[in-house]
Amino acid sequence: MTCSACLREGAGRGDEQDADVGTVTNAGTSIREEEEEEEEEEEEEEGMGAITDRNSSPAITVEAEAEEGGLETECGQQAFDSGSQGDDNDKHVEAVCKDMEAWESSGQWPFSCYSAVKASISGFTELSPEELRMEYYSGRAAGDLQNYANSVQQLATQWSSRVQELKILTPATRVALIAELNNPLTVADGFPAAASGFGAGGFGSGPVGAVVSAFGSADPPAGPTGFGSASSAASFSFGPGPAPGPTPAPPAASFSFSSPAPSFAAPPGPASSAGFSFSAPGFGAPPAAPPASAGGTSFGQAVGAGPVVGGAPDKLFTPQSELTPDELKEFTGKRFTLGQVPLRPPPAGLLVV
Amino acid sequence: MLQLMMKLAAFAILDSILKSISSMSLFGASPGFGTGGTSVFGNTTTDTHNPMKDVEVTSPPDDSISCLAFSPPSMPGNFLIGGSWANDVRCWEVQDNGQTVPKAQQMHTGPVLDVCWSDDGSKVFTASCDKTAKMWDLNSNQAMQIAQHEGPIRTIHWIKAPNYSCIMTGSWDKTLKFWDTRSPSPMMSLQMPERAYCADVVYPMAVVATADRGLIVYQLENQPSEFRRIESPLKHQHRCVAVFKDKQSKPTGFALGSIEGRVAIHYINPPNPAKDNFTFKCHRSNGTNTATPQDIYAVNAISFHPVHGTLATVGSDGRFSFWDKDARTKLKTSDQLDQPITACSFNSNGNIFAYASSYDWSKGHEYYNPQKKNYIFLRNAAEELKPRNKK
Repeated sequence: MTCSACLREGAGRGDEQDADVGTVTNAGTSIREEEEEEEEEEEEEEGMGAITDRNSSPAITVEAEAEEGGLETECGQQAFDSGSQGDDNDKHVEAVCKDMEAWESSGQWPFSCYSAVKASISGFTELSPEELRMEYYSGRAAGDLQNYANSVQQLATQWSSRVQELKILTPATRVALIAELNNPLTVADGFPAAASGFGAGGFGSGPVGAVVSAFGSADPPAGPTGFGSASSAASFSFGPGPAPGPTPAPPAASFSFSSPAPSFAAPPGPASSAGFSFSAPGFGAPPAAPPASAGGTSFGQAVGAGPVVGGAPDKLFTPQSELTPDELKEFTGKRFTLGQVPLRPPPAGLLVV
Repeated sequence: MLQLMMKLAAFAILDSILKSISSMSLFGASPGFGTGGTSVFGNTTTDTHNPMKDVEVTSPPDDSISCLAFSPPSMPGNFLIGGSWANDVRCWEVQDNGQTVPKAQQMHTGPVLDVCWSDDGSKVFTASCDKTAKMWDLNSNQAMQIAQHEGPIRTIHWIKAPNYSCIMTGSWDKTLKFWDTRSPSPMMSLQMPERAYCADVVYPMAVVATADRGLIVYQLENQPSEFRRIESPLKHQHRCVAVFKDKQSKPTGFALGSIEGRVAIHYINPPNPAKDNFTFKCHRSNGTNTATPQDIYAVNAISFHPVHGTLATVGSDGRFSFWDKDARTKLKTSDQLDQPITACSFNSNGNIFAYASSYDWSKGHEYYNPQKKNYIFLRNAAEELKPRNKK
């Protein structure tokens, strides 16, 4: 592939060039190229891509071999369409399939968003380890971990189902995936450098303009408003999430949660100062205030007005007249709001492919 | 070996999940691995808590360490601050002979997620899940609340501009707020598209990475404002970010890490974005066997060496790595610790690399052992972070 040839060739040149920032080092690869190369690089030991101690040819050979004798996968057999657009779609669908395979077997964090070809793919819950941990700590402090366990299990099941769905595509899910890949929401790349003069090398050689001595208090937000409910403490909901597509198979998650071990006799609680001695004359005596338990966030309570939880859809489209206002808002919007994806299919008229 | 253990655990857990789904009795099922007193990662017979034989900081916190920060160059000596999930923030003096002396401690009412110093070293700022941020005056050892959000505060940074100074807080309530420490109301509140997951400030640039792969650069001259929203170069959840500088010490880009063992190097205004910007894989198990899938770990933190401009990454795999982003080479990878590495920091002259070993929740609650000791290690960083193609 042309891109990998550039990379390997560039790796050699990069060594000889000036390392100053601002000088173009040819050992680069664009992000897009990097994405395409991933399939070939699966067996490479970790590195930055440009392995400067080797010359170019062996690296290319290794990659080519890898492509042919690579991971056992069903992904290569997903070719359905014909024509150049079809080829692109096939390529992208295959890439997604491989990503799902890797995700499933790698043990990496499951509660993460996912995107391919710059398009965010729906059906994944974005939750950081800290947020999840905080839910656990809150539950533990309240003496109730059942809620946490239930929710985590549900999330894990949803994740696993979605991964399976994207790995083994039915014609319907394939169409839906291709639709998502081809209609990425472009990032609002606004706010051109008003403070111009951000030169090639640096960020802030800003304009010599009027200096505001102190900026005002509690200015209204500068960015676009209306991004979900900022007022809720936990902006994700552990309520019922989207159940897209056919009935999910029992999850074979390599990363799964069972119930918490019942061995937590007493919560460890906040650190005691017993083992931490204070000997410095510079700092004063430690504070005496005993810490209270961590404030609980609204765990398990429905956050925001989600759509009505209907039964499993047994028709392909929902008449527009039957939609709730929230569902209609979601379907007519450019993209779904996380946590508020309707459970019922859209009306035929709103289906955008 | 590790992979086999994980897979066995997965099958055992899957079995109990399926049972519990049908019977709806969750408690009492097999707890799986990692709930005993043994270490989670690696061999339990050999003690691998400090394979690099680095200096252990005395009196480490009793729960996972979320953040580390060394004192600024304006202060004589080296003082290390560490925040933890035990709701505390601790301060140690690091002496030149390597000895660490506990100095003082402050408490929040929820886990501490981030800490930073003022530029003159007189104050430490702490951010917590209790939705507040505090200012800790080290001389008087008094702390007072200086910020309030509607959700846990995930990031806190001190901004020192020619015409103002303030604190910047990023929260899971999707706002970025700026505080004059003397006033209970924020000087400015900026709405973000999603929850703040990580941030970094090198005046006049601030970068915030949010949930759903949000990436926003702010410019801080005169007053903070949004500069640009950037399409993320990564496919998965953003986890950590660090701004880097050019040879003139001006901020020029950032390194962004994700949960998927990958870091993106991104320049704000490069001559040739397609060539200058790139991503690299890291914190993965050695995938030399094509038939075996890799284990992929999260990048928990990134720090740039203050002198050399090379970077350190620490991951859920319990390793740290040093990299030269200009030469695009890896400088070093550590041996594997028996716990994830959750935080890291360089001291002001770059001679000391501090890293924390504790559980990061990357495998959920089952691998959480409250009895397991947490560590902070100090390593001499003077030599290992030198750039590969030093002229």
